[in-house]
Amino acid sequence: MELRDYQVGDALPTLTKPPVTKTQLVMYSGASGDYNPIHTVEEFAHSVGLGGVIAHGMLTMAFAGQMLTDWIGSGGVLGQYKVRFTGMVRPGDTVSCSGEVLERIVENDRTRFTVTVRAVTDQGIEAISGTAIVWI
Amino acid sequence: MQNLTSIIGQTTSAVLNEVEKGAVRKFADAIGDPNPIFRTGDASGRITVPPTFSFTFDHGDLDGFSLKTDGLIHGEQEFNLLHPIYVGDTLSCSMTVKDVYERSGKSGSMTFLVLEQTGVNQHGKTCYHNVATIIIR
Repeated sequence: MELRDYQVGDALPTLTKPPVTKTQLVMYSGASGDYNPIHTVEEFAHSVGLGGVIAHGMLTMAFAGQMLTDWIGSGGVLGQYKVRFTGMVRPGDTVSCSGEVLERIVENDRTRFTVTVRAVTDQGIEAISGTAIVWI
Repeated sequence: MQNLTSIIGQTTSAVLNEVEKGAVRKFADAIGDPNPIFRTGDASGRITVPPTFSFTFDHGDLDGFSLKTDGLIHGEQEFNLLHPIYVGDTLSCSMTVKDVYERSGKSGSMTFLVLEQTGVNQHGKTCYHNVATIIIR
C-alpha cells in the first residue's frame, strides 16, 4: 500500500528487531556518546538496584524511528516524533514496534498523518508510547 | 535540588557539531538499521541521519548542573524535525532549560527538568527543536 493510501485506523507495517545484546548496548553508548554505566556495567547496574544493565531508552526510540522511516520511505517527511519512556528493555529482550494512523488531514496540497507509536518487549513490557506526525 | 529552579531560562553557549559520515554509519549500525540512506545516500547522493540522531550532538554544558549526574531518568523525548540534516553539515547546537518542577509520587518527591535542544545548520536553517524531559529522583 502506498503511503498516501493509508486511512485512519490502518496499522503501520510492524518492525520486530533482533534480541537486544550487551554488545549492542556498548555500540549504542559509543555511537550516541551516552556512557551512563547503567547500560554497560553489570556491577554498577546492580549497585543502583536495577538488577542488571538496561537498554538506553533512546535505543528503543531509534528502533521505532526505524519503523517510521521504513514506512515513510521516500514518499513523505517525518515532522515530529515524541514518546514517553514507560518501561525497561533488557539484553535478550526482543522489541516489536507498531503504530496506527490516528488522524489523516488534507491541507491545501499536503496530507498530514498523525500516527501512534509503540514498542513492546517479548516480556510484555511496553517500553515506549507516543505519536509521530508525517507529511506528504 | 532546591535551587534548581534558578536555572530556568539558562541557555548554553552554542557548540559546533560536524555531521560525520562515519558517525552516522556507526549510529545506524548500533541501532541495527540497514537503510542505505544513512550510508550511501539518497538518489542525489546526500546522506541523511536517523530521526533520533540529533540527540547525540553536543549541546553544551549548563552552569552548575551536569546531566551526567547519576539518578537521572529519561522521562519523555520529543523531536520536532524542521529541516533535513545531511552528512557534511555543521550544526550550531545549544540547549535551554525550559522548566523545572516538582512532583510527588509513590517513591517521594521527584524533580522534572524540561530541556529544549536546538540545532541550526551552516545556512542558518533551524533543523530541529527537541524537548527532553529528565526526571531526577
